[in-house]
Formats: sequence, structure tokens, C-alpha cells
Amino acid sequence: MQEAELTAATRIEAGRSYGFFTDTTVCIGCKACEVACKNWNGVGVDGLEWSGNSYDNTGDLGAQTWRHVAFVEQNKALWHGQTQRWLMMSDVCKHCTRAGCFDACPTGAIIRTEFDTIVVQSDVCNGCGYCVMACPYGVIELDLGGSGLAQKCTLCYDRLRGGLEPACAKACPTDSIQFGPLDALVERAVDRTVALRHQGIEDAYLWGLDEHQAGGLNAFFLLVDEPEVYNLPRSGTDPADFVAESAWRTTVAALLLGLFTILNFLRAGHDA
Amino acid sequence: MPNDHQPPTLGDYPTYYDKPALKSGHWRWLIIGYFWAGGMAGGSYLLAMIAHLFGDEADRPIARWGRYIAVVMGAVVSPVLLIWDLGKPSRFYNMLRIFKPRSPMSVGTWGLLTFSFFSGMSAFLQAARDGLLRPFGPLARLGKTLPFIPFESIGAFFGLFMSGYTGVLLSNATVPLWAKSYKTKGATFLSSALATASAAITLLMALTDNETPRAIRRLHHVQRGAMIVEGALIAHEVHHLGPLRGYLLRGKVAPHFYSALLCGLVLPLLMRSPRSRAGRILKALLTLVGGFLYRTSAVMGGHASAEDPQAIFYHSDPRRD
Repeated sequence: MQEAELTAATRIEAGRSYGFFTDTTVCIGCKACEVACKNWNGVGVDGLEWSGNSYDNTGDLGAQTWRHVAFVEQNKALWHGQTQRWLMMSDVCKHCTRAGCFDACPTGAIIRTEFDTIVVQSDVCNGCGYCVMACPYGVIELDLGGSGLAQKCTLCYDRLRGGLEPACAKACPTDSIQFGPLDALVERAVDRTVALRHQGIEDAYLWGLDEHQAGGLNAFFLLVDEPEVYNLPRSGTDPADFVAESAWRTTVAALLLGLFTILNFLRAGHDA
Repeated sequence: MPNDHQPPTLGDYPTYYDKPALKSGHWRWLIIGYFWAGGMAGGSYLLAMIAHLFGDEADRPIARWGRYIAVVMGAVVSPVLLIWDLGKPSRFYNMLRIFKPRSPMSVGTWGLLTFSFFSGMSAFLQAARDGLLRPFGPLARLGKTLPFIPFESIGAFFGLFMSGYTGVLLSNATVPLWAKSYKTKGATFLSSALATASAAITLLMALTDNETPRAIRRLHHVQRGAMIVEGALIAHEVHHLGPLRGYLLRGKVAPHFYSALLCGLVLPLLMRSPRSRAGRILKALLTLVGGFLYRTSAVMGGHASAEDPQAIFYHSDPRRD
């Protein structure tokens, strides 16, 4: 028996798609996910500074931060006469279906695993940094202060292979972070959204399942405000989808400029 | 549910404490230098091949200096800059594990490698003919007997590749300013590379007193044509950027952009074809500096747009399509 069957009610098998459903409405901002992630994956401290941005002293996802809890304090007209609320959301790598980092990587260091997750092989990555500029969500980053290599969430690849659910999901005390097979997660997330709307939280919606979010994301979120409020864009592209057009246009331009240069040399030229 | 109807204007999106929503790249002087040197190398190689194949006796200096610039900038300076930039220089050869058409970085690595071979061959043959290889006896004799054409007729295509692919590399990213010009950036970099290559060959011809009036005139015409195309493409890109053009025209990148236009396009075009050698040297230097500044503004403008969450929220808002 796998441990994941006890802690996440799922059996982890190669060949199925796994992901995270992060239900931000039950996040309490305890940052247990951040701690569990750092602890299990051995990623280091990346600054202990008071940001002044609510309780968010972590800042953002990066080479050394693979889970990041965002805190948004709001004063505005809300449902049932409420005027104040505190949004909390544990952000993570989205493990895109059309992953920009995966396509951009020139060494093959970034792979799609048997669990349909995206992982950087640190012994193959050579630190070129092109993946950083191809990520639509600002997740992957070069560890410039350390290894110099690209680093990000692995969706606990090693734990999945050992039949354990990812550290952050296991540590989450409110099940705001849920791990499981993607199809089951989506079903659960849709039910939860419908239930919330039924309870009067009409702003509840799922972010990350649409095609225009990099082909659909394995890590998706239940949000109650505009995506930008959580620092998420309204759509995400895989830049590699534009390479073919970019390349043929450049080729045409190259041939025209080459032809122009040849013509210059063919001109009967005693004009100097 | 999020608001599905009215997209805000640039600057009016809600943000998360104004923190970036993208990670900006680490590309600085090494990569900007590579875009400049690699483009110049490719253009020089193309000019050398065309001058050799389609020109006559008076165009010889173009072929000679074109070959030398191509090998120094393409096969020496470019790889050094790129490998230096890697966080793990010792692992640069991991690039050679695979060939991946969807990754401009992978295609570019193989293109640069192939170009290095061809530019090395051409320079070897040229050096043998120039008598520089005399100490190496048999090697010099081999270099003198091998013809240029078989190498250069193929290598010229890799020269064009070197000049243009960096535009594809740059614009196929999620960085708003770059992504917005993915259709034209290759052509812009190409025309700029042809202009800097013409300038570099003109400069070396002038400095070594190895020039003919015909060769000077040819390069002047090529450079003028390339700069007119480049100027038109830059104008189109700036227009196409819409409100995002602010990251180029205002702020800390603006001085680079405007001086790139001044040094790289306006002044060289106004100088036309200088009669004095000093004038030709000045024009060539201005063009070279302008080409470097243009790449600086393109790269750093992209970083500025990646660091501002407004830019990516605006750029990636499907309500505006």
C-alpha cells in the first residue's frame, strides 16, 4: 500500500496526469506548505526581510521558493454587507500542458515526467536561462546566488515515485492544497465552485483550466477576485507556438536581403 | 467570476504590491554583445561570399576582410561570450545532446557551430592566400589550392542564419516587449547585422589602407539599403507595440534607443559616402556603436516590460483581442 492512499486517497501510478487544486478560500496563510517544501526539497533560505506587504515576507516564487503564500488585504464592498477580507493563496509552478520552459530548453534538461509534470534535471541543465524568459507565470528562475541552474517546483517527483503525495499538499492543514489525479481534482474543484456560489460567494471561479492558460494547467486555483489581484495573468502562452511563423518570416527577409546584396554587386559599377 | 467585458488600460490593472508577474531574464552585456558580434559575423560572411562570387578584382578587399571579421566575431568572440554567460560554463556541451527545432536556443547553438566551421574554413583559405600560413608549409599549400566556392556557397546561408536567428530567439519569449514583435524581429536584426557588417568591413579596409573606390561604393550602397530597411522595420515595431512602446521610448532604456537611432541610422545616412578616410572611419564607428545600442535597447526594454506587472497583464489580456 502507498502512503498516498492514506493521506490523499489516491494511488500514484505512472502514466496518469497529476496536479494540484489550490482552493484559496480555505487557505489560512500558515505557510506550512512553504516550510514543508523547503524542508523536503532542501531548497535554501532566500532572504529574511520584512516586506511590509501584509504577512508576505516571502515575496515571490523563485529558484529557492517553490511554494509562495500571497496575502491580500482588501477594504471594499463585498457580499452580505462585509467590507473587509483577507485573501490568501499558495502559489506554485503550474506544470503547464504547453509548457514554455520545456519547449525553450536547449539541453533537454526540462522533461515531462510519467506523472505529466514538468521537472528540471539539474545534472543536465547548463544555466542558459532561456526557460526563465519563456515562462508565462514567472515561476522558473536561475539560482544565480548558488548553482547557477534553473530551479522550480518538481511536484515532488521523488515522492511521487515513492508513492507519497507532495510535501506541501501533505502539510496543508486545511486541504487548501489538494493533490491527486487531474480528472478527479477537476471534478472536485467544479463541485466546490458550484457549492460556494450556492452559498452566496458568486465571485468564486476556477483559474487555470482553460485552453488559453498554456493549454490548461496541472496546478489550478479557485479564486474569488480578478486574477491580477493574485499576481496571475489572464492568459498564458507557450512562446514556442510562434517559432515557426517567426522563423519563416525571418527566412524570407534573409533571402530578400541576400538578393538585394547580390544585385548591388551585379550592377555595372564604374560609378565611383 | 472575473470581469469578462471591459479590459482596463495599461497602468490601471490591479497588481500584487506592484511586484513583477514575470521573472526578467539575466541577459546583459555578454548576450547583447553576442547579438551584435554574431550578427556582424554572419553579415560579413555573406558580403565576403557575394563579393567573391559576383564581384570582380576591385571587390577583393570586401571578401578578404569579410572572411576575417566572420571568423573572429563568429567563431571566437561569439562562443566565448555565450559560454561565459552560462552559469555553468563547463556544461556548455549539454547543448549538443539534442537538436530541438522548437527551441531557438537549440537551433541557434547548432547554427553557430556550423557557421564556425564555415567561417574557419574561409579564413583558413584566405590566410593561406595572404601568405600568413607560410610557417606551416603543407597546410599553406593545401589552403592555397582549395577553392572558396564550395564552402562559401553553403556557409553564406549559415551567415544569414547567424544574422537573423537572434531576433527569433529574442522574440519567442513571454517578455511582453519582445513577444509583441515576433513577426519582424528577425528581419530587423538581419538588416541591422548587414549594416554593421558593411561598416565593419569598410572600417578595416580604411584602417589597413586596403580599399578600392569600387569596394567603398558597394559597401556604402549595401549599408544604406540595409539601414533604410532597418529604420522602416523599427518604425513599424514601435507603432505595433501600442502603449507598450513606453518601455522603449520612456524611462531608463530611452537614451539607448534614441542614441541607437541617431548613431546607427540618422547620422550614417546623413553622412552619405564620405570622401575622406577619416569620414569613412567615423561613419563606420557610428554604425557599429549604433548597432550595439539598438540591441541594448531591445534587450533592456524587454527586461523593463517583464519587471512591470502592468505590461504582462495588458499584453496577456484576451479581452483585448
